[in-house]
Amino acid sequence: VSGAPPRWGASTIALHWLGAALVFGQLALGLVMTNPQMDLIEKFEKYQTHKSLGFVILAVTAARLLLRRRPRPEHAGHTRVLRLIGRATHAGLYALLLALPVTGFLMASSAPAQVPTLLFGMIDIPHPLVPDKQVYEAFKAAHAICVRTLMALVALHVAAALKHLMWDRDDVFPSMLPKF
Amino acid sequence: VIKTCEAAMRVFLRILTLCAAPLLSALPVSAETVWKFDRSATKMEFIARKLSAPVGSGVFQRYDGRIDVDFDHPDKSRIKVSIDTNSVATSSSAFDSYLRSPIMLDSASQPAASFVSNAVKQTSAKTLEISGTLTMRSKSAPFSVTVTIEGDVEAARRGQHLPFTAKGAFMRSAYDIGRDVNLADDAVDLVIHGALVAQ
Repeated sequence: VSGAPPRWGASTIALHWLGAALVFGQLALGLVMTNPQMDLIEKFEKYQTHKSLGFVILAVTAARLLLRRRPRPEHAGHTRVLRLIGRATHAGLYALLLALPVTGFLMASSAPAQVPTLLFGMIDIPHPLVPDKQVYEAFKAAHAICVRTLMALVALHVAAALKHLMWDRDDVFPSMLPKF
Repeated sequence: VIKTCEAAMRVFLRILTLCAAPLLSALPVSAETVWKFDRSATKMEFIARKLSAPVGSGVFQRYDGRIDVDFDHPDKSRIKVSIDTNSVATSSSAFDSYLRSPIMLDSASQPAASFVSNAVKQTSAKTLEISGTLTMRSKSAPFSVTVTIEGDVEAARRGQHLPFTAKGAFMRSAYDIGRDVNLADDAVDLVIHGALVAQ
């Protein structure tokens, strides 16, 4: 419709907010499950949920990348530098949303403790690596770096969204809101 | 005449049996009694700890035991307990499968764990120290439990249940259980809350 503010497609919006909810849930779960005093069985279950959600995030991110091939809304009035920062942040977020499940799964695969990966408690996902403490430690370190970088980029992304909403008052934030 | 005599003899034997029963029960019974677990009242539990704080527990649902205990001469006692490690159960079936896996109890190829005593000492009026060998995953190591008798032994010899608690701890490393699993301490408590019945 002529004059209507530019918007993302409904499926892109849905997957964006689903992904956001999963990422925040996953970060919270990651903090809770690493408590060394937690009940061992509860910890086991939480790790399984964490791994299952990781696969869901991987699938959602892959779907979002496919949807990005569609035409996207153009927002006028943004400087070249801001656009560059925005693109770099988004690229970084996508890269981390792919890297985190992959490093997490490879970490679990190479763990000497050989805890199985049970997708929602039903499907035993075969581990592609043999247990190896050095490999495990390497993927563990990579996973931790990815988590910290993701938290920084999410903070930047949220700050930018709030700036558009409250400071610039432009159509960037509304373009990612569901239309009721 | 013969039939009448046989009938009279049967009546006599019945009366004799009825009269002798209370007399026999009043006689002192043998000090050594063979006991077995009362499964309905017995729970064989293990407790994992991390930095000494309990972080997980479960039970073995299938076990058997022959417990020859002479409470007057404890050193003559002999205890043998076998556990089916496939019967391990926690609140999570997925975790149970992990406990049965080759890295943990290896229940598929080593389904039986066993304890055989080699020394029983009475340490107080109601406690026994039982030492022996615990075998899991085909590996044997010394193991001892402290048993607290919580009931009346004499009453139990005459058919009542004998409540007890047995507590011991084994080291996972001695049996190669979860060698690289650092979510729990090496020591795992084994606690049996239960009751014995005389066989």
